[in-house]
Amino acid sequence: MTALEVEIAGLKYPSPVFLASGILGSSASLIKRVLESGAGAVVTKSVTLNPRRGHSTPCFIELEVGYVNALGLPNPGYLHLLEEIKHLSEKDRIIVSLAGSSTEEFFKMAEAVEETGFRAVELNFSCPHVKSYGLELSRNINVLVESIRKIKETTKLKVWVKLGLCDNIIELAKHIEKAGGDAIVAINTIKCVVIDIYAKQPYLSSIYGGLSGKAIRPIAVRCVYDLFRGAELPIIGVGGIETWKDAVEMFLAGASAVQIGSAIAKKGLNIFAEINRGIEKYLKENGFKSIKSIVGLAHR
Amino acid sequence: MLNIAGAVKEVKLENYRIKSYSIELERKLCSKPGQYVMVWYPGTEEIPISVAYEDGRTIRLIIARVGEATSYIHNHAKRGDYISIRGPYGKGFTLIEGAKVACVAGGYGIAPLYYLAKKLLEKGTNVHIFYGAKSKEDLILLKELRDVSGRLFIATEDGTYGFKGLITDLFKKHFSKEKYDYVYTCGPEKMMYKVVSLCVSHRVEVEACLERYIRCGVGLCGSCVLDPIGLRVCCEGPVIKGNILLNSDFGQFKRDEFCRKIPV
Repeated sequence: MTALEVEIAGLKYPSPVFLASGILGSSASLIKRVLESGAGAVVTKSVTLNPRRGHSTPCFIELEVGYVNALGLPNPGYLHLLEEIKHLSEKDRIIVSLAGSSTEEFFKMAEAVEETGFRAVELNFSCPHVKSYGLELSRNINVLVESIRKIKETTKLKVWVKLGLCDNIIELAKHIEKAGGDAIVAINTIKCVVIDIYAKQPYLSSIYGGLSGKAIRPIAVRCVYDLFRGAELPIIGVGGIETWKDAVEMFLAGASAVQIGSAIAKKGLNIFAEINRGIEKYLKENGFKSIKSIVGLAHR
Repeated sequence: MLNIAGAVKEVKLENYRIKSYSIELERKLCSKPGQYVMVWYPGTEEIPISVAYEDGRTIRLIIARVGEATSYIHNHAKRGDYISIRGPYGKGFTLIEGAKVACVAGGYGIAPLYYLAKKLLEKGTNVHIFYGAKSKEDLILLKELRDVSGRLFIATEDGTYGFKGLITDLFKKHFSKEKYDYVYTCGPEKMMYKVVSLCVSHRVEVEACLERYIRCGVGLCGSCVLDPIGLRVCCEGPVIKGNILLNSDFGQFKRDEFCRKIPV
């Protein structure tokens, strides 16, 4: 076992640095390339029951402090993606992200994921810019709880649940725990609006978008910190991580693993190997033998 | 916002379906030939457009009426209108100094190659331009192209101007005797495929400028992926070397807005 290896809900990953959902994960070729670049795991782009074109452009913008996107869950539908990625060999390291709008949708897609040979799903209860999905749906506790319960009762899948920034994140985490969920992923992009001052109208076609990148990291760290205190489940930290120091901060706050997204725009796919090296060096220099030994250490 | 505010300075009708727009920006774009910008004219969708020239704070965009957004721009954009630009994005063409090169263009693919030829001329490179279109009425920029090229070869499919036939056939005729050091191509993908195959099989370096469905422009969303190598055309392209392209779906498949593979 190497120092970087982590175990989440009984499944082992060679590195604690994963690819976040929504980034690059909608084609077999890119999933493969990211895994080969040193990511411990890849979470696919969220799939829905039926194909979605996504929002019209403009759906992406660069800011001084990060990025705002409102892609609108574009995807070819769950069956299409599963067909495309079923031949990939590293099935344990690919987590399929599901965006349902009801318990039935989540369940139907999860069953197909298990049949295709994958072992974990990430339920998207956090996308901030699509009506009736994601963050909006997380307000419906019943759908959240029943989706997890039904998948856990009927399949052997590990269920990660991705939450967004909200006031009741601890309460949601407790519901997830009770329903049998295996891990909590926090957070998604943060809902926002960008206005073009010359056009005098919102820049994004869907008006609302999600802010990602550097600016949201301290907020993500706060959520992970609170979740570590308030809930028992393993936490996977996401939000603005760009360097190995950012990743270590997340581990100390309570994350058992981290996910990387926006930083790929600046640093390319080498970022995974780069962060892996930095974490390994930090562990060694500070006398730790594993990631596990630093998870939540800031809570002493 | 990191977008660059622009104002339409001049609209020129190039032919029945192509207009060129001079846009004055609030700051210099600093583009290289082959790079593109995401262009948003409020009222319609944001689209990727190759930069066709840049001089100071003014850029030139050559826009063909091909879909909803381009039709909207053609119908509405006039002098003084606001236009938002983000970029420049992607990798541009490699600028070869003091050599003998060929630019092979099809249709509105001439736009970035015109910009390239102009830059190459400044570097003392001898540029031969091969430019093909369906008919005489489709040809644009002829005077400008003559000014920036050592030789200009033109083909039209119906024979109304220049060589009658495909530009790839005309290029093939001259390719072996001219002995180019480097070849650049931009146009319909099937056409570029022929150019790239010919060059690679004769061990001549070649670069092609691809068109894909682009959303983010910075390599995050994956909409533009070139399979099976997983290359992100928006930031690792749109200009890609021939030997890489021939190991990919280039010339065969691209992805649509749903991220499904479709024939090019």
